[in-house]
Amino acid sequence: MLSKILIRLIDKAIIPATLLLASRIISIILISKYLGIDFKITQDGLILQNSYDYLKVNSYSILFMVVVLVIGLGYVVVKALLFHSSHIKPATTAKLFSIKAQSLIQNSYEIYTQGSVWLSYSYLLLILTAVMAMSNLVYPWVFYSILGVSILVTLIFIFDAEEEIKMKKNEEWLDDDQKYLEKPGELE
Amino acid sequence: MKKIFKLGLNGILFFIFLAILVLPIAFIGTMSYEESGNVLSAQDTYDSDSKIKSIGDQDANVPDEVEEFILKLEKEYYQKQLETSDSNETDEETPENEKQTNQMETENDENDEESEKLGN
Repeated sequence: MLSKILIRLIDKAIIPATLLLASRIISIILISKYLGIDFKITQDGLILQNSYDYLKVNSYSILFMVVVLVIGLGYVVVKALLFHSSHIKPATTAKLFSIKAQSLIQNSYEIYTQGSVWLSYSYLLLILTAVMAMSNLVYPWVFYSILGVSILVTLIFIFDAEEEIKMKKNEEWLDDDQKYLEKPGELE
Repeated sequence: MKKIFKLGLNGILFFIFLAILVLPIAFIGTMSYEESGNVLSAQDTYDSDSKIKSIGDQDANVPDEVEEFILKLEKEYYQKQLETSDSNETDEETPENEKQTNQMETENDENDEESEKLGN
């Protein structure tokens, strides 16, 4: 009755959301302390003394979020390129099993749902920083860094998806006739 | 009926998913800064194109009463500022601050003189 994809997406979005939220709060506190900037916590949220302080704290805080985003996206990209169940090398599989890290081997469904959630965050952050950069609320280089990350990761996912589609097409040519295949215990 | 129920449940799920996605991004918007209060002064510069009448503009024909009232308010404002700065910095008053307060006082005196002249 309930959509499995939606449930999966919600499940995969909880950890990134928590990480990004935590990174924002922690980064604001750390950066304010490091730069000696005072801020108040009121009903309206965090309030800084002036626009110059706001620009600094906001920019470095968003950069901190981008670093977390890059780590998350990097994890998914590594899984997609190296540990994808469709094209993982036998040697890598053996190694992963020997170090009991076989959970890293995931199928396309797992990897792409996770990737789509992290990419959504990347695009949302890109849109927000674009608006903020136009309003001089964030340094322009923060926007350019997110733009670079978003483009690069999107391209990697596109190439991986293309490879996956090619493999699926090749599999269609395989003969699924099991007439001459040895069945367990047949030749004993 | 079953389809509508299914659609509703999936709609709720989709809404939850969107809420989770937007939450960290929306949290960025909760940070803001205090804007410094603007105080109008007779010494403020003004644009010639501005529709706002200034007491510094001779062609504006600002009524004397209004001009006097503005100068009075300005005097009160500076006096209040002096009082607050005196109460806050009685222990540590740097020479720069003394210069500033002297400047403010002379400015106020000049304003008084001007208002008297205008009154005459």
